[in-house]
Amino acid sequence: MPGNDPHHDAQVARLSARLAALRRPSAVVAKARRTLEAANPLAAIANEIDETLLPRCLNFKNDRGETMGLDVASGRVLSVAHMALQADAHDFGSLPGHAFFDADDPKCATLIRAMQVFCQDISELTVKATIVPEPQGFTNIGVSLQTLEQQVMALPPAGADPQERMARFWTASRGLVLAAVRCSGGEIAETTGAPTELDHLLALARDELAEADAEADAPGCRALAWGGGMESSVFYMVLGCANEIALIALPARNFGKLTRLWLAG
Amino acid sequence: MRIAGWLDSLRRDFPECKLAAFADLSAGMVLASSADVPMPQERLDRLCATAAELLAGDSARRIAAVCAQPLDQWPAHAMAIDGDEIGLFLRSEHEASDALCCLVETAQGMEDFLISARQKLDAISAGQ
Repeated sequence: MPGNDPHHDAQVARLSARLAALRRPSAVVAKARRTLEAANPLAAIANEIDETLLPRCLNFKNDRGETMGLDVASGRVLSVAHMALQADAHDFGSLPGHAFFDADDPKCATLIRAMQVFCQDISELTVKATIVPEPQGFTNIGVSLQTLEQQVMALPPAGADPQERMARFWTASRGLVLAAVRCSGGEIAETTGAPTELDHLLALARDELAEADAEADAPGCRALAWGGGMESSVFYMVLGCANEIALIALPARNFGKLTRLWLAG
Repeated sequence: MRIAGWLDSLRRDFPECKLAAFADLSAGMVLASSADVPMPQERLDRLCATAAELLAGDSARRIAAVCAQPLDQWPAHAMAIDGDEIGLFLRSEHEASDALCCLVETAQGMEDFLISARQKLDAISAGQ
């Protein structure tokens, strides 16, 4: 009976102390930003999410200065706290602040694409975990990594649709090019970049479109590139996928990155 | 070192390079090659023709003219990707008809590969 059995009272006291400690916010939160393995950045991010049980905001940052904050608990992504990518993708802007109610959330695929862009061709990846201010505000169960992986497998293969492939490349290549012209269906559809190089590309584009009529059924995707020395010259790329064509002027230092971006689909 | 030695050295340093071939663009011939699996001469001839077209042919001249690049020095590099095959072509800055033709499996580490390939081509053109 309480009060009569010292041993029992001691046990109750120890148990009460342990329960009180669990109710307190954990004081063991990584203060410093940690470096993650950048060789396989998507796997590193997945691992961080999977191992985060208590409510935390995982703030990821890559060597392009891009950031992505995910509210995570019990190994599930609950919401996107913030996201700042160089790529000005049409639908990534809807992610910040979005809470994933469950695995059927239609924005799961958008999150995966954003994570792929974030991880594209990076050499440095860091993370800092911060306590989420109001954990009791989580009423959604979020989406687990297993579900995200299933969603990735369900996505159509990269490059399956030429227009989609070109749109992905066009978006992801912003910030890496000096100028670019995109042609679709035999017409110039979009342009960007410095005027001098853009004029060069427009002249090339008109030539390409005139030749493309003779190769209307050219299958597959192809790329050609020309450039001077690797130190400081300008490179030019002509990329084609069905009737989608992109002409790019880029600094030589970005030649490898853009090639890898194109091959990634 | 013999030409083949330089090509073997390049492929040892970069195992993703399946083929490295030294070509004379003016003669349209591959003079030496190094490959995992010996390549038929017809394939080498087509590779050399691609190199000649991209580095010194009509497409090179058109791009140089439109983009205001000096044709006698430009381009020094060219690339052709068809499907999953990546062809990288370098023209010597010392001997305009000397060229290196490479087929690589991946674009990972392309920057380092091009630097090393350029060094090997310079050595070959210099007769080292």
